[in-house]
Amino acid sequence: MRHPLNWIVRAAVPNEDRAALLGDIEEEYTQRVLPAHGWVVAQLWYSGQVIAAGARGWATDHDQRKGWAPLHRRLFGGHDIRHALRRWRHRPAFALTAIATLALGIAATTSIFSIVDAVLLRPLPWVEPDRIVAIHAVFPERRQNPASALTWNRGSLSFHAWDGLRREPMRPARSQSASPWDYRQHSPRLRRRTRSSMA
Amino acid sequence: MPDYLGEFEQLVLLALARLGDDAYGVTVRDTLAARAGRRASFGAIYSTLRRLEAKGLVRSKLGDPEAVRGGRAKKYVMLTTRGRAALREAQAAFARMAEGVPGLLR
Repeated sequence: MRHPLNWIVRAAVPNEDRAALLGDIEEEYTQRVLPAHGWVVAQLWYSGQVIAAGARGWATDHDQRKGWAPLHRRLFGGHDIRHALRRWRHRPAFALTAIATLALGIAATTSIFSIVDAVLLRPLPWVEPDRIVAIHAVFPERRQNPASALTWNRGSLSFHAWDGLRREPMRPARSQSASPWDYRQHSPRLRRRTRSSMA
Repeated sequence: MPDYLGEFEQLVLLALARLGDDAYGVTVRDTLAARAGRRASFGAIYSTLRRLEAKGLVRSKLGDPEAVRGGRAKKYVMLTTRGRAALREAQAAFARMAEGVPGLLR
């Protein structure tokens, strides 16, 4: 009998049992179920038997061959990774190209992110960096005089602290406590950087 | 290591012992239904027979193709010596376990 669901048995049941199993189902169908219950019920019965046989065949096949699969196979499938490794071994040029492409992509992404992080994302290395304001004074006739920062600091009431192109940090304008601008409260590395920029 | 048998495996082996040379899928299924009241699918019977064959408890041989089976052959199954011993031991273990249990067996 050519039943549209016979492929389930062909796909799931081992070769040595396949023909005998389909033969038993067909014998029962032809001799008993069809004459006793009619075509519709017989079709349903046949389909149920084929599906049950397919499910049993698949389960038995897997249980007997493998038992419980190891953890890595349960997590990652096993077959896919093994297949990929086998293909790579057969085509090493393709494997190297794929690995090089991946390495380049990862390196480029990492570099770009490092730059974006350093320039845009990471805050300036001072306390409350959002309160820092840069003021530029232009002296067309002569070079900028560091003494002007001292003058501004003396007369200013709006800023907490001043600093400029000078070797020593300014003291706070309104308090004697440590200034947020005072680089001495930061790390030695930052102090070195600040000193070199002020030199 | 002794061959441990499940309950359905024991029923199938008993059906094979009862049927003798005429044991194949259809007759095994009929026997299970008639004597044990179990309506098993052919898939269940074949997967059990395959497991028993892998354990060496049964063996099989193919018959001739028949038109009523769509030109397919029957797969006759019979107990091996090891299968008979395993069945005997399983039945004896059941009897020993049941012995003396009040109201269970007379």
